[in-house]
Amino acid sequence: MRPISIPRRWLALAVGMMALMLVWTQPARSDSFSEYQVKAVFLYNLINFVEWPEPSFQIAEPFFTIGILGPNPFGRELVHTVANETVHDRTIRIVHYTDPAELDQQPCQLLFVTIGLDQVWPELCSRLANRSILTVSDQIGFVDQGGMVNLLTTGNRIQLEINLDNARQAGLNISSKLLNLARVVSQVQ
Amino acid sequence: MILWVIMLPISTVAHADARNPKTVEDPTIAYLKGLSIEALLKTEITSASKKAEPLFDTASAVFVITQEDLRRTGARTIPDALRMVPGLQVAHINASTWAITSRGFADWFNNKLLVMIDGRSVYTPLFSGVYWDVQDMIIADIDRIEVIRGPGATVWGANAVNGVINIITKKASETQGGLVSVGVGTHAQPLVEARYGARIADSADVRVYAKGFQREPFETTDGSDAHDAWKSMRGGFRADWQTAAKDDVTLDGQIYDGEADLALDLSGFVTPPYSRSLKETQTVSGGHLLSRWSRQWTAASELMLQAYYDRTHRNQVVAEEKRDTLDFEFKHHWDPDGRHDVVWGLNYRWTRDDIVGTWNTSFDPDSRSDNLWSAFAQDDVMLVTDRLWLTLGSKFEHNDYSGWEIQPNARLRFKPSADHMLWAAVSRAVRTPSRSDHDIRVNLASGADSLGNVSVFRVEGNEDFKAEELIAYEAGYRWQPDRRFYLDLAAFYNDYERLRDIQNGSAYLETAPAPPHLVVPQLITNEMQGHTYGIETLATWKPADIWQVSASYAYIELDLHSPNTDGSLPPEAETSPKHQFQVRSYLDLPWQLHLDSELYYVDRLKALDIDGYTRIDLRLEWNPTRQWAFSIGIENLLDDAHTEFDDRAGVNASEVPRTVYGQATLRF
Repeated sequence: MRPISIPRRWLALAVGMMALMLVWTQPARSDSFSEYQVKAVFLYNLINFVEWPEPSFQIAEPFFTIGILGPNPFGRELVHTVANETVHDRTIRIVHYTDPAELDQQPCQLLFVTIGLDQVWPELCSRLANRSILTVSDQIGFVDQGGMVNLLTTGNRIQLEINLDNARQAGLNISSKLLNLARVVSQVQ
Repeated sequence: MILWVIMLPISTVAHADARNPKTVEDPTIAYLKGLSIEALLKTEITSASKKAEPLFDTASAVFVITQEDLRRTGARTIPDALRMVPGLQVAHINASTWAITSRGFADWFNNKLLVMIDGRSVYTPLFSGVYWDVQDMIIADIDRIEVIRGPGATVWGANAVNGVINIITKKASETQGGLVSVGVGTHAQPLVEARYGARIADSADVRVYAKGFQREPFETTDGSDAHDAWKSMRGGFRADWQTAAKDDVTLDGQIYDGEADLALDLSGFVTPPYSRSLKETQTVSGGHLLSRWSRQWTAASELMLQAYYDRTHRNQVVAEEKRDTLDFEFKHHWDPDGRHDVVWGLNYRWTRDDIVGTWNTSFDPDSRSDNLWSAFAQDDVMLVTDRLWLTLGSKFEHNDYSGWEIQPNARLRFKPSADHMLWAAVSRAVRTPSRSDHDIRVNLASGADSLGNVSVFRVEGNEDFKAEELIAYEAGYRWQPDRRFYLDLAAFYNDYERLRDIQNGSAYLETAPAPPHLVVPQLITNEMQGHTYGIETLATWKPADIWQVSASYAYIELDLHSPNTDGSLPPEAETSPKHQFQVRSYLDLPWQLHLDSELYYVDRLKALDIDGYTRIDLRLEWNPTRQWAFSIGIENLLDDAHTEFDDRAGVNASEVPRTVYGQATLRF
């Protein structure tokens, strides 16, 4: 079968193809997700894999508090993720901190740190002592500098890093199912 | 699909929140919340600024070999891994040599494929091809291999006529800790890989590695030793820094050394015996150093600067080549408003060689320094929001052989819905002349008549050899209705002009070396032209989370003509298999076992008198703990031995044998 001869004016061919396209009405959906959408869902999922000791919850306020220390990178994503969700019958709420000192007035159970740790660690460390707060971040080196869980963006996926000893020191118990999926570091920082 | 996304939040929410009816359930968030943590870890994300084009949205015939594919198919070298790419022809010539081709023109020295490792071009300008025996690294540290069949998009370098293979290694931060892997087997014993990665400073990671192996010879068709044993050693490192100012710096280097035995049948001598069989050893050594800096300048703008130095020293018995290459590249990616996505860049490459020839093969001049200047620009325009995109781009290049070359292309992407993608492209691509085309001299064959007059057939390079030209018309379709099924179809019609051909020249007498002999020149010319067309199909199906099956079929037809072959088809028209078919299966079994199998069928190569063959590979892996992995595998289960290609450049082809191997890997 002799192939049909195609003219060399390839631009004309491209224009011809455009004319043949039909426009459909279904909306297109993105096939990959924005970084902070996925991290927001991770934070929400983390809650189910960690056990807090009972005294870390204040009886008067039936909330599970997620704190963000530093500028908010989530936009509305975290709000959408935890909306209408509860943990052991406690509603999840989000609190924003600009300074570690605020942790004394309004403690939380999970703290997402977006300020550079080297800027704030000594202060933060003293506020975290005697409290069972799960510290989470997405900065390189977080678990080696004292943090507990890191959602590290590598390439175009998220990699979990966990410092088990830091978590244990705060009285937190992390499920082995989660540990198996993470790069686990065990040195007390 | 929409219905499923709506049902999900209803099933996960414990109770409706009547206090806050304004909270709208975001379908994407709802979908993500429905995933397990394992699935979340595998989800691909795009950083706010970088526009990562998922595979699905690419307007080219692209296939990505993932790290999982590399592990499951038991690939121990890069050519092994490339077999699974739909439409790619991978033929093992002898233990250390392969002919790897995309869309026709199969040859050891296939010159229409651009191969890059981490942004460094690894094809040699000597003949515009790739020495596969020196491209190697720790397979477990490869992140992915992207293979584009067809002219590379404008952003790729020279030579990307029929395809681009881009091997991308993992960042140093992704290969922390130690890895030691030892493999043994028939024909590949032993193989040792060792790597250690560590964080050396705040946001700076490095890995160092070494790899060595030794392969025993294959056999010839009559069962004797093929004299093609191969051994190789290499060591290298990669370091990545990420500074607070959003700078990404990478430094990577490697040195290697190896040798391969060659069984050669050379002819062209002026004294008897006119044909000689030689058993020699070729030696290769070299290394490279690459540095790259990129910065996210603003949310919409990213810059990249890269420089590398590459050195090779190759003694291939018929000629010895030393080559230095320096390459500088600048790239700017600009995404101002979401409607235009512009990439443009500049590249300068300098390469210098020193070739010591032999009677059989020599180059004139024997030392040469070449400059390559190129610029490219491309704009990806969204014509209809989230539906239709048009990419227009071109590469402009000036090389020392054919002067200015322009390679424009236009690509169209149409997404009627999230599950379907249609694309079409028209491109002009150019295969610039290589040093061989202009300067080579090969005494290919010789003989004496009854009176003792000697004639020598000599392939002669041609200073006026022009670039080969391709106008490629391609189209494709992808369908992914859900996470379990994926279909990818691609078709192409390639129109070639000025393809390399050999023309008989008028014979002349040559007096030195004695005795005087007649030289019948075989001039390298641009007189072949024609068309090739074909299709490549791939379907991937996950019937269950533990089982994945892929099947692919590729068809190619070559219709080439040359005034120098008296009306019959030139040999290049029949060195590619008309049909190729493969099936792959990855199965996860209980007790941390994984069973993987591949079946490949390659149709016969008519011009080379190579029969079609079927190859079955099996592999069983056991992961008792996160640190240990053990595997055993068989390659070529059905077949004792078969040839996949013919003798090339005097090097004898061997039979590819059945191989049994085992590998143990420890991560700490």
